[in-house]
Amino acid sequence: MSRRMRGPVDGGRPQHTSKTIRRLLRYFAPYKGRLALVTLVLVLGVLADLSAPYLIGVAIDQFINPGHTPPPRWLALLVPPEADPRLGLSAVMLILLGAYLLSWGLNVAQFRLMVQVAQKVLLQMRSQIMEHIQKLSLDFFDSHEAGDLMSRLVNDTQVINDAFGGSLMRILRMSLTLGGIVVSMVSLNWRLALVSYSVLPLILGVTIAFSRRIRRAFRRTRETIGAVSAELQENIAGVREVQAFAREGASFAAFEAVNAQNREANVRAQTLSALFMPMLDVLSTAASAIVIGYGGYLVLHYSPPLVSVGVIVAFLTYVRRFYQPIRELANLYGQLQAAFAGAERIFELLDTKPAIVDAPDAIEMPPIKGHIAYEHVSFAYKEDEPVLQDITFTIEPGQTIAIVGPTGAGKTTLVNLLARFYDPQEGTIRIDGYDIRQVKQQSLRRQIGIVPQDTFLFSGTVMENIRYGRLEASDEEVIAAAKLANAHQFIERLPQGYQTEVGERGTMLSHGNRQLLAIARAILKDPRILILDEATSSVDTRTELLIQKGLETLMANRTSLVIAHRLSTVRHADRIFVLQEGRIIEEGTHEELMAKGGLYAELYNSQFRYEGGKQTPPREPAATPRERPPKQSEP
Amino acid sequence: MFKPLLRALRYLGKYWHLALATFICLILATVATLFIPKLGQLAIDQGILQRNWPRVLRLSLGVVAFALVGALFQFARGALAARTAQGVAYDLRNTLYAKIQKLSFSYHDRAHTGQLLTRATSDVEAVQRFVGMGAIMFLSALFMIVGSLGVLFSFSWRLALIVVAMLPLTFAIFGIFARKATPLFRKAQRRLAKLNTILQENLAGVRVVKAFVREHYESERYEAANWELYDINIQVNRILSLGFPTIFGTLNLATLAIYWLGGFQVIGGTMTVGELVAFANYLMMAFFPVLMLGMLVAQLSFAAASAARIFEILDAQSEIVEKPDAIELPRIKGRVAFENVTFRYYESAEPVLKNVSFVAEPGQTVALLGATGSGKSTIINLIPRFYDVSEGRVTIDGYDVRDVTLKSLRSQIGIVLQETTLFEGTIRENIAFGRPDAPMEEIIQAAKAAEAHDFIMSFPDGYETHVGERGVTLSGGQKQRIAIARALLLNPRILILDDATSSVDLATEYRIQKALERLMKGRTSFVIAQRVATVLNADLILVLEKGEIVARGTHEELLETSETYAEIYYSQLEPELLLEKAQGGEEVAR
Ligand SMILES: Nc1ncnc2c1ncn2[C@@H]1O[C@H](COP(=O)(O)OP(=O)(O)OP(=O)(O)O)[C@@H](O)[C@H]1O
Ligand SMILES: Nc1ncnc2c1ncn2[C@@H]1O[C@H](COP(=O)(O)OP(=O)(O)OP(=O)(O)O)[C@@H](O)[C@H]1O
Ligand SMILES: [Mg+2]
Ligand SMILES: [Mg+2]
Repeated sequence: MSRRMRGPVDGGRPQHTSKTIRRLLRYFAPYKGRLALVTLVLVLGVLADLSAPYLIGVAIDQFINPGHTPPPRWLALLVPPEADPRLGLSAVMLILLGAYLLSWGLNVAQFRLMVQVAQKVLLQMRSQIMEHIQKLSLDFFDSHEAGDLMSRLVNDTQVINDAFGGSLMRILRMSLTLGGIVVSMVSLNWRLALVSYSVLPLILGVTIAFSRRIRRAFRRTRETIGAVSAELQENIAGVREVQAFAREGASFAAFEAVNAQNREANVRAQTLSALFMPMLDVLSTAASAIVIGYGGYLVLHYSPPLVSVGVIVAFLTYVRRFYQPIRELANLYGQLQAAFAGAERIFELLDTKPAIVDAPDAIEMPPIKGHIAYEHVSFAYKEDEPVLQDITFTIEPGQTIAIVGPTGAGKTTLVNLLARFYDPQEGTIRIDGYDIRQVKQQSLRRQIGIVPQDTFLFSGTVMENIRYGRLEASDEEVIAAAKLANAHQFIERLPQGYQTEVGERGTMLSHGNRQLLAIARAILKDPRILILDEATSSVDTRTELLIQKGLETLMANRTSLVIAHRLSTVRHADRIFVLQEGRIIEEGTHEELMAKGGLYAELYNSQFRYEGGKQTPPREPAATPRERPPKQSEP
Repeated sequence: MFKPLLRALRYLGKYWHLALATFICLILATVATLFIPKLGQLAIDQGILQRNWPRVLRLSLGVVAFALVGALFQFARGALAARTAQGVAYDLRNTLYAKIQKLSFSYHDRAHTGQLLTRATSDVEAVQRFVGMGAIMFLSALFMIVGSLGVLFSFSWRLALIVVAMLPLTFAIFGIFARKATPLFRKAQRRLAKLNTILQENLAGVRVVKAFVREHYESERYEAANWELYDINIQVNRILSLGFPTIFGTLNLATLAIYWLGGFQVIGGTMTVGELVAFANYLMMAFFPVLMLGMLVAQLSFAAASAARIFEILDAQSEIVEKPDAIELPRIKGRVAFENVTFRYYESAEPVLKNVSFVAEPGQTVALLGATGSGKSTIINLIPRFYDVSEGRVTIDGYDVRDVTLKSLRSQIGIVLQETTLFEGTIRENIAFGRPDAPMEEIIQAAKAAEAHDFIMSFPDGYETHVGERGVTLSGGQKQRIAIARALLLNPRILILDDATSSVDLATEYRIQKALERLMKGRTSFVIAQRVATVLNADLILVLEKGEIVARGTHEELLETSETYAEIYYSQLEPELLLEKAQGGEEVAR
């Protein structure tokens, strides 16, 4: 039936079902023994369940309404035929009680065993995805929304778990029950059995007609609820902007729209199922009516009658029990579809190759001395949009290098390549002579301290945030790093000092303070190469100077790269690179570059461009530092 | 505990006609299905046993007819219930969203995105399930129990007593399991939330994770939380795995008792076989609503917890509320005055601003300068009333900002916050954020003034370029310039730039300033910057230190009068000077 249901264009249907199933089943492979046990328990449980209507039938035919059918052979062993029917009834009922108890115990056991397996698989899957996500490189995160990844890890795994923890076993159970019922029915009376299956084709037809529509409708509900959460997430993250721009009205309208879509999708899906289920009910009740009608016919029009009243009664029970699993199977089919779709999304994620992987023969980076060489490096995030072009330079160990240039020139990109967050399309980057593609990423990054341009703090305490730099650092070391970064003073003033919670992304702190924490975090890492990407852009110059002073001793004989727009920050660098449109156009010390009168000199002087009638002249700063107003120059 | 649920039920009010229709359909459907076993019984007793073939035929057809009618009402019930429930969910979500948007900055400072998200999605779903379906189901389950009990009694009061005895037993079992499972469920919920929080932060801070080689640590943290969740889930399931079979076990027991005792009655001649079979069928019918009721009761506590979490947000007092008699702020001329303003952040004892007073005259540019954490951002956040002052007042053209409507106030103020947040979408949409219907020419004009036009045009897709989540695919300075363009497009009467050019190079910044001077002629601007160059031309420079204004004046005045200012100024010109000065003390001591 499934082949006919496979529509030609149905995006919601998993594309490679059999492959996906095989791969899913692999997760269950380690639990083969356990699963075999579960199946055994299940089969026994189903048998126990099935014996109930049979026993009831026997009780009715032999004792309650006797005289129509010969007793089954086993019964004679139990109760002599001439015994009081009450006694016989009681005996059968006792057996029934035993069957019920058995079925109860087996059900409990089966449920428990299966849930353990399913939960383990869920656990493994989640951990595996998390581990995989950690391996992916930054280009992946540039193009994938966090919300989408979250939903794969959270919802899709859950759907799979539901399917395998419950549905799969139920399907197995239903199929077994179905088989058992069919056998009992046929062996009891094949004529009656055949007519009671007569509505089956109709049920199949209805299921086929509905299942695709229902599945589509439910997929639409998932998509729309996804849109609702995306809209929500973004607007909560940007709620300050929404309020600042008095945009509540427009944002609300946008939300209302996706919300309404979700409502419509849900109403549609539920209406469809509301139509589907009663239809199946009508058909299965019709089967009961047929059993009565045809059973009556067999009783009344044949003599001796071809069927007994007890059999008809038993059949009524069987019919109900026959159509219930069918009804459930139709239901479960949709759930499985959802699980497969979820599994496909997960596998797709797991199959994403990280753009940056360690070479198979990658070695551990030995302790870095700090010699850095870029050789004809070119890089583009997207094809045909070159960001860096033919960059070549060398840096000697222990030097402090400043990188300046207009915004968007590629400064951040340049240093990102050094930590191998992205690989250049052309050229080579070497540290101490090692091509960074030939060493293990982790051994490389472990020795590089970065303060990224976008400060990110985790929610947690100040202490935890700094310690992220080196997890095993003692409190004293954390405090020492904070002191070097000039963060200690403000931390001391916080209500709970180092134990103050900083809030999501550090909202409870001022921006400059967040940057100070990020610097402390990098310092604590004790890196061989330090990269400060506009690390002090929101920090006042005085504090910045103190930080520089502190770093001076720390970074003696280590290499540092400093990106800044504030030229006071970069003046002291051993060398300054001026980057423009992805090329290094000037290079040299502050004095050399000022003398040259190029872009750097222009940038530097624009600092003091002065307007209007006011006349504090732009000074020629490099020249004679001592002739400042007296109170400044006197030590 | 159930108060929040009762309150949630009020959301049904708007849909009362739908709810009523659902209920009626349900009753009719139930009645129709209640007749079916009875007809079957008659077919056996009066038809087959009495050898009356036409009767058998008629009654069988009757079964089908009743099934059809039942199905019809069943369908109507389902369709109506979906509309009711989804309507409630829709309303709840809208209310919640509107509220979240309205809550003040200080609320959002403390809130967690993930939590708010869960409440608006899964908690709403839980409440919707209960209010939309549960409440109706509850009534109908009661109805069905009473109905089928009535029928059972009419058959045989003795057997019916068995069923009556069964009910409290089933409920008791439910109660026991629910009591045991509920706290565990809650725990599981919390652990799941924890797991998701780890993930969410990890994704948000992926650059930091990578830079610090913490991939392994993060995986382990996640795995540990994952195991915790596993443990609790296993515990939950241990209870459930006992619960469900036990509850179905009670049904089986009842069936057994009925056949046993009923069998005795038939043997004794006080009952017919058909009656006995019908009775067993009615037992099923009575049992399912009982099962439903049990599930509902178990669900009740979850729904109640979810409702409580939702109302917690809806009841949160926004610190910023419009006065009932708030007036429209007329077109701003631009006189902004702080009068003895003292400010504390939520629940903190130490004031962040102490006694701040100053006046910005219309058309002036006011610059704020000061060490990090001195309170610059805090001051400008008070102007659009993102926070309310603790003491003193802030006025614009003489109007206290607390006396005017928020919309009339904020729509006249263009602000670039210190942390640039862009939205997923195109560059054009981001610039037009405050005025979604702005014509393209104006958008381009704003982008040009913010020196963003050139780099935007350098992208192949120009203004239609997609910026990733939070604008990840743009450089720091590019993001800031888009934020400036976004503020300028509002054509604001007051412009606030909080460190808005910190990632922009000096030459570009200079050009932006020139453009602003032209655009903001006659309007008031506030500028926060760390670079003296940025503030040099301001009409009034305020120097802040630990929440107090320690100096004020123009550049020239301050150079003369304020040592702090002079220090800042020269430190950017000649860092050595300051360093020598700072070290001076030590050297002398040596
Ligand atoms: N993740 C990314 N994906 C695609 N394009 C990017 C990405 N990051 C940066 N770019 C683009 O690459 C160019 C260089 O960006 P980069 O961040 O290196 O500039 P920058 O010199 O650091 O600028 P700023 O001073 O503003 O920080 C810009 O045009 C930017 O839009
Ligand atoms: N949302 C908040 N909740 C609690 N305290 C806060 C909050 N925002 C800021 N603070 C505290 O208030 C003080 C002033 O912060 P503010 O952001 O005004 O400083 P700032 O002058 O703008 O500094 P920066 O130059 O670093 O941006 C700081 O000590 C900071 O820790
Ligand atoms: Mg950058
Ligand atoms: Mg600030």
